[in-house]
Amino acid sequence: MTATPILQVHNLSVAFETPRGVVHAVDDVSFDVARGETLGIVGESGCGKTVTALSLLKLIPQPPGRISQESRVLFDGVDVLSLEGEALRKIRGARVAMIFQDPVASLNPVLTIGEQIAETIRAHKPVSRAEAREQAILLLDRVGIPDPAHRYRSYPHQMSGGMLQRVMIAIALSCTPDVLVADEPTTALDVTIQAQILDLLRGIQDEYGMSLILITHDLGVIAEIADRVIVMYAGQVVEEAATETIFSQPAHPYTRGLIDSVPRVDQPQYQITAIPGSVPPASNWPSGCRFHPRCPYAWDRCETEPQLERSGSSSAVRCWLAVDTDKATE
Amino acid sequence: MTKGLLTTVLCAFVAASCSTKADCRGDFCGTIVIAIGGEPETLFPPASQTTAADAVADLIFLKLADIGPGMNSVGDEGFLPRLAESWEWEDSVTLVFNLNQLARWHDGAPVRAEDVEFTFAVYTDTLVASPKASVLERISSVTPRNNGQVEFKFRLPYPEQFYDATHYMRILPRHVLDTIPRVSLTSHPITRAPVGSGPYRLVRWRASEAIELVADSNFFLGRPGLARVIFRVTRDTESALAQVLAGEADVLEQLVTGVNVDRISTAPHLRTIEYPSSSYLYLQFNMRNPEDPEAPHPLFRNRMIRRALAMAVDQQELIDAVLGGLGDRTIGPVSKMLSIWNDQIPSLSYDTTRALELLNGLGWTDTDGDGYLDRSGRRLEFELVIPASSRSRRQAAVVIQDQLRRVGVNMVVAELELNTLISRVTSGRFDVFFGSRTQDPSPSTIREAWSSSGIGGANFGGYSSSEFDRLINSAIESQQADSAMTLWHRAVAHINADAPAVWLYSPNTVAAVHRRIEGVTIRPDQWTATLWTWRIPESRMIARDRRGAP
Amino acid sequence: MTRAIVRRLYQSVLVMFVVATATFFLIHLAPGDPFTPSIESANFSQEIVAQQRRNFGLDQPAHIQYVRYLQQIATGNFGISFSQHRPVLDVFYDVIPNTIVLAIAAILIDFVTGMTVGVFQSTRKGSRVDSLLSAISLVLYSTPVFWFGLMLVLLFGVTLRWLPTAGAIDPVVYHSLSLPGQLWDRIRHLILPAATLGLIGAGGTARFQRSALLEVLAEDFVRTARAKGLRERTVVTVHALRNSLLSIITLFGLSLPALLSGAVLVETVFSWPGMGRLITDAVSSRDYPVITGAAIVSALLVVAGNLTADILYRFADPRTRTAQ
Repeated sequence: MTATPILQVHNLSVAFETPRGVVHAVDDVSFDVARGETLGIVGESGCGKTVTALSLLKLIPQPPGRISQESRVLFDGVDVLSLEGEALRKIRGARVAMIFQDPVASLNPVLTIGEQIAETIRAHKPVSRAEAREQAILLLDRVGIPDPAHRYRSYPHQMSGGMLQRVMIAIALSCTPDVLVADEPTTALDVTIQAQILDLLRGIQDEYGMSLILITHDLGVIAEIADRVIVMYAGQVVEEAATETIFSQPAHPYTRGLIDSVPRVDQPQYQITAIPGSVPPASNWPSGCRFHPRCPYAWDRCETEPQLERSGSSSAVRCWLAVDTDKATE
Repeated sequence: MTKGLLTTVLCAFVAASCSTKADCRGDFCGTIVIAIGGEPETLFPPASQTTAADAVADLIFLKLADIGPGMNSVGDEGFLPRLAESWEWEDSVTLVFNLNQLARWHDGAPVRAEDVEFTFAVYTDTLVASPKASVLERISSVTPRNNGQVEFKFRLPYPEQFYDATHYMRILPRHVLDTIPRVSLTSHPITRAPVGSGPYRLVRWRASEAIELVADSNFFLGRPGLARVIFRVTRDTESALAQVLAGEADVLEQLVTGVNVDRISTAPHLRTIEYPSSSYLYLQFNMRNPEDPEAPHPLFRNRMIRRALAMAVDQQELIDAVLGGLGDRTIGPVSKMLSIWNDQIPSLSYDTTRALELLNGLGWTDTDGDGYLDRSGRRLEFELVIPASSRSRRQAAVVIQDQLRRVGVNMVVAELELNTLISRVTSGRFDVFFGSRTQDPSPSTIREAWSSSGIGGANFGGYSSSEFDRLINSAIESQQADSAMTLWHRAVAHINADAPAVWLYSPNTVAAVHRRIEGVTIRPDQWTATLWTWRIPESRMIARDRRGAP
Repeated sequence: MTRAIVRRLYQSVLVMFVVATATFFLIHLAPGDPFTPSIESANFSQEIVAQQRRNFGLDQPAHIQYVRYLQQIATGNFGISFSQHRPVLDVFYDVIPNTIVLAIAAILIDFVTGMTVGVFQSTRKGSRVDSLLSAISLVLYSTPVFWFGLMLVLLFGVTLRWLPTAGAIDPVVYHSLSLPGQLWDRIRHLILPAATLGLIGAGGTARFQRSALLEVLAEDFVRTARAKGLRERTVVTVHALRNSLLSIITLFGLSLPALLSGAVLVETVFSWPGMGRLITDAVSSRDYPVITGAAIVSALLVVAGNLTADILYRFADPRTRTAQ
């Protein structure tokens, strides 16, 4: 953790202009990712995880999206958000790769999966068509697709969701990136397939020594794979901590709520407690602590907005409870 | 500039294509392009039914004699020799033609008396079913006397014998057509590859596109002035106008509207030529009840109503509004082309006061103050049927509607598809029909349209007057030109007084012709009849003239 | 795929049978017949008219004429045109190539221009150029064919005299030109009518292409393509455009009948010797064999166009091909 992080996100704020007003989807988010580290970003849908992930590669369509002037995404010291054209293109897919939630929609239906891998290789490496094809077949083999030479010519509609996510991973791996951003990579898949994909991600991360940013709403997935976790709520980071710490000592009531809502094998089903209410719409965040309308511990101080307080090198929490220790022990 | 550049580049590219054979020299080189409003359906004259077909065929085929510029159809006065060099009457029913010994078919064979005999046989054969067959009924036989003489026998003597013998038949080549079965003559390929004896022969016919004729330089009546005549099929008047304005076409034989005439007048390379037309327009009253043909029409059985309506229509206003002044008020069913045309014949003149008096006298008054006349609770109204395809008649109907409203008459206009209109008019299911009639040079066609012998045929309104029948029959039978003319004028005066129709106008036809063409004369009944005498002097030729004949 | 096409062909035979039957009876029900004499000039006798009707079998009851007609059609004989006195097939042979040439040229202009503009616009969505082009294409799209053609004639034919105003060839010189010269003459004559039809179609196609491409550009796989670091041009052409082609091909299939009916007006304005004019003339002169024949041929052209669209669609979209 002492070396320069491969990716540093500073004060990322993203807003969208909609016909019904400006929506602040991500508000002043900062975090680092070290080389080889797996960072989990967790939160309910609508909390700004995906927008954060897309911002890392400047994939937010602008307009209607608007990334604030103060926002920085430093990849290996270079601000990705300030890049344009070729410079930006050379990072996308080559240094930072991404896989998405729905592999069926994420692959082009009219091109063979082989072409879609090979074109990525050829976009970044000076190789011939034949070489790109060979490398693509090797990648297909690596992500566990049987009979890769034959499958190279398959179209997306001829394959299952799990297989397609493997193809997405193969695309992501094609230029051995430094960072792989996986946005809900297992959500759209069958439960049995989910584990296989996670295993695959863990395996390749280990093999390639990449950093992995895993975005999910599923703490179970985090527990299995992440070194460190960022919890997001309503466009903000509410807690950041090492994975063990999060599960053993969740500092934010929201994190606690998330953990309690995970079904666990050692506890009977009926004890699951869900967080009451739902994530407020991004166009209208609550004032003060954005979680306080749903928080079981809320008190009057929560009407003013708490700051993200750091404690130690890798922990932070945005909650008055963490500041007001008296109240916390009540 | 772009055009020139492209042409240059292209010529450089295909050197051979642009330097065609030697240029044509002399006064007989001209090439003209005519934008023609319709495509001939055939170039086999016995089957032809359209003016377009006759216009082209009359350059390829000849008659025995042509009607003269005076349009006289009685006797043989004014007729011009064509295939016949001369003729003599042996008795009142025997007419002998002497053929011109120099006359040749386009394939070189001489024109002989047996060709005339053959022609008559074809025109009157029921298997051919020529539309012209009925007008040849009074000729009993056509017989060759020798190669150069042919004898016509008539069933009875009458004034228009010579006209009937010569006006309808274009002489056909027996040696070309003889071997083709009569029943398939009208659909045989030869109908589109005619062999004639006229000033021009057919070079090629590109269907729906163009018909190209080239002059027969040995034409026995004199060398045609123009080397090539190309008819370009152009059904749309706007397109035809564009072609003459752009210099692509040289002749447009009908400009149709005053606006078009104005547009042509502004083009320095064109001039306009006005000639009388062979048609007249009228509003025909139905004398019979549209619902019950046996009963008289509730309104128009009354002569006074018809006369009142005729007086309520201002023809001059119509001519100005619809034709831009290019036309004449007609007096009776007579187009301006006819020799009997005379604007001094007594007729009902425009007089709304008198018209209103007449209607009031018949009990038609505006009792409810709605602007329309009524009688016993019924408004004075009727329906006018017009063909939707005729723009000028649609315009005219609106003007007339307005004129009649001024005397309190409500005329409802119904625009009908042509075939629907024909079916309603011929079966008597109408109040008033806005008609147009195109006449032959002979005034005798007035009989079938307006006398009682035409009832069930072309007399759609069923007008019947024994006095008019008597006058018109004696006019047609009169051997004396002077007395015939007097009788015609009396007949017209009579029908004017009876007002079976409101006579409207005879439009003047205006042609657009390129200024470089000289000697332009147009015969009203057939505008191509004298085209072979048009010419372009060498000094005024343009590029397309020098190309000469291919 | 072959089986699907064969099935299509069977359907087309059925379609053409229905079209032939419907047209036959409709036109026989309409008032008038081919030998109705004119009411505007000297009449000829009723016996002659009756004779003409007998000669062409029109004195028979309609159902007998219909059976006869079907027998003829089945042997590839479309009968003899009443108004032109020659076999209908000869009549068609003269005009159909002209219509097809015009249609193909118009389609090329329509889709090449329309798609180019549409793609250009969707990559610059919301810009001033985009709004300007949208306005132009809307105006074009709603311009009457007749008027637009006339304006082109007046501008390029009459005023500037760059291009001929009428016809498919220049009858004065065409037959003395060499082969390349003839080709050039034909192209010069084709430009204005094809541009009239094509540009008006392009107005619609551009709007369609723009929205189709914008829709595809919002798809997940386009985001994937960008995230892969592909060049923007590759993203638009290979990924987005190719997918938007699917809806454009459907549009192509649908636009053929509209194109054929638009051709009627264009052929009138430009005196183009094509099928459209033939049909209007045949309808007004009640030339039954030409009308029914033309209906069958039009149906055939439309079916052929749809079949082409089908094949193109199968070619462009792997999902419609049967599993390997």
